[in-house]
Amino acid sequence: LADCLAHVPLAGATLLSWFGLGSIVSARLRVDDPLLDILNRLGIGAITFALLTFTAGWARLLYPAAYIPVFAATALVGATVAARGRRPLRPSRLGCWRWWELCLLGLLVAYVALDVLAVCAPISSPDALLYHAANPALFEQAHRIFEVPWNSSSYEPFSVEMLVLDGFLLWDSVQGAFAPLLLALVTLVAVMGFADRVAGRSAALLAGAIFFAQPFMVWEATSVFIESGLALAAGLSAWNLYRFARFHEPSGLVLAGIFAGGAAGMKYLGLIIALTVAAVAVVLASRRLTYRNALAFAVPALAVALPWYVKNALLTGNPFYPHVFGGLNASAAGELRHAMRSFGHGHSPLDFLLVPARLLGDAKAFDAGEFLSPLFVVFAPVALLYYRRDKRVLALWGGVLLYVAAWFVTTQQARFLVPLMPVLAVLAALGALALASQGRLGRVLAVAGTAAALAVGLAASAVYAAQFAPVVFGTESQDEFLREKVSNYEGVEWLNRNLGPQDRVATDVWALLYLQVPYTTFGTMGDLLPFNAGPQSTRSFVARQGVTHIAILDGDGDRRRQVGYLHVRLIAKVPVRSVQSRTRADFGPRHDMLVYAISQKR
Amino acid sequence: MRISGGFARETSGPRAAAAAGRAADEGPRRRRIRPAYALAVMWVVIGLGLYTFEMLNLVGVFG
Repeated sequence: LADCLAHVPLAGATLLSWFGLGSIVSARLRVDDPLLDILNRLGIGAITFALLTFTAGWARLLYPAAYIPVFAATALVGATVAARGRRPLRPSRLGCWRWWELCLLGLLVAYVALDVLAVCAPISSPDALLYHAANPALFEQAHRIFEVPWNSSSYEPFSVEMLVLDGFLLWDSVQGAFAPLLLALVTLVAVMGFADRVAGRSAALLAGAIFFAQPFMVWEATSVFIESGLALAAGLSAWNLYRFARFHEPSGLVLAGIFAGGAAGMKYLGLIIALTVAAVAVVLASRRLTYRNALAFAVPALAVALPWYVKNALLTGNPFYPHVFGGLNASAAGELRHAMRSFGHGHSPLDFLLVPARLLGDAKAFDAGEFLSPLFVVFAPVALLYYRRDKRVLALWGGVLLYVAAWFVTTQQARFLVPLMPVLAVLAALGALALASQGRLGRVLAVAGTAAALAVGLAASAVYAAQFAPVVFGTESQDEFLREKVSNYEGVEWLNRNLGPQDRVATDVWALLYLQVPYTTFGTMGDLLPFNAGPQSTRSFVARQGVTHIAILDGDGDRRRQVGYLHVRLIAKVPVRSVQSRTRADFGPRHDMLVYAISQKR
Repeated sequence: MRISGGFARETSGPRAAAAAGRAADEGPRRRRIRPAYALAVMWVVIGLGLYTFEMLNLVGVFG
């Protein structure tokens, strides 16, 4: 608990440092909306920190002694700028609020508390253990960024992971895990701010609750995922674009470009976001579509995103490795393709039409889609019905459909819909309020449906977050917690106890964040050593990687066959188990992790 | 009802929506608004029904 109490103020200081750096970098980019101006500075500060960390990583400067002075100085600047704010925000007095608005505010506060509880626990999300947090941990230990060829996901643009790495440099992995949560919280303010501007306080609170008060977002914001960053970039890009379209502010277009590029610098998925924003911009600003305006959007977008694509071009010869133009070995490419298409219910036109209904009633196939709030899909289309003559709403909906179509044909994971949520939350709030104002039945449906969905969501979120309470409050040790929450953690403990810094283990377990021994893997999908590789390839893999030990699960027949090509000695069988569901404490059957020592003689 | 731009909250929000709703019940606009309302109600009922089904399924799994 003491650690948690220290992490929270440091997270606050992180926000100040983003704000400070953003204020310095974007001194001439102002919009005439004080809240959006603050959010722009925060967002630009975060993007700038990510790019600075990226540069420092390739310059071998990833030391706390280098980072912390920059952090402290920018936080100081942020605090000073905030204190001297010329146009302070004036929140209205709570006494004037209606009771249900107070309930929504209370709900949001409760969700922030649940999120802080969940993020203060040791990292246990499988993707984070594999690369979102594991790679920053490697970079921090090596004081530099380097290529991680065993995981093709590590070639994705990594801006959010750079912010996670900043948390490692500031303190530890939990501090790193705060970065995506901070991005989610800034997005929440952006959602509420935009909804407030277009429809007032009630819409703001409702949009905020729809966006943030859902179990899916608790999981998303506290598991070191990066989609909260995409949501922020998409939301701020949309809001700045709105400023340009509505108030003819040229800086709005530049800022929309910066955040579109920021999205493209967070994940390849962000490229789709950037292109979608560009398409909406073309529609909204069709009368002012000049070369100058096109460049005002495109140049900053390219400048912000380009470093990641240049890096990949230099490392692999392919800026979009491995998703476009290939580069993976045949079996890994096939596995990646299969994995991406394994989500959802199908890819036919009928399946596309059924997406909304399935997101509501049969969403498990979308990878945890059952924990999505139904309010987006239920009420956002209502806004379309009521505002169908408003060009801006139509353009927004066009952008939503464009993005959903891209999502549908690539990989139908619910997580990748998060970037749409800021826009959909505002539309859903407008739809719900419009419906509630149009008749008794509409009011009953809007109020009862929203209240029921929020209540169910709160219950599920509380159950999810409660699993982290014992370790955060100190009634459970970190090792006990990790044994319960991390697949094959007993095997990792054994390797940490019995191998040393002079060893190098090749493994197929995913809990790499907690592996303290130098390691490599065969590749998440056999990227480095295909499953069908023969004796020669296996031996050259071991020699090339300097592998001294191999740790594999006994059920992995392909790897066991390949181990048979080597001169090895079985030194341990460690009982391990996989975790099927952390929340339900659902475990897979017991297995053995087989540990082999590789003999020096051939 | 239209989404206002900028800070003109007095012309937006639920009060404006209610005003627009009242206006919609009067005169020639009545026929244009009602299908939207009926469609919205139908979609919300279907949507909430589907979600209820999903949640019951989920609880069944937990059980």
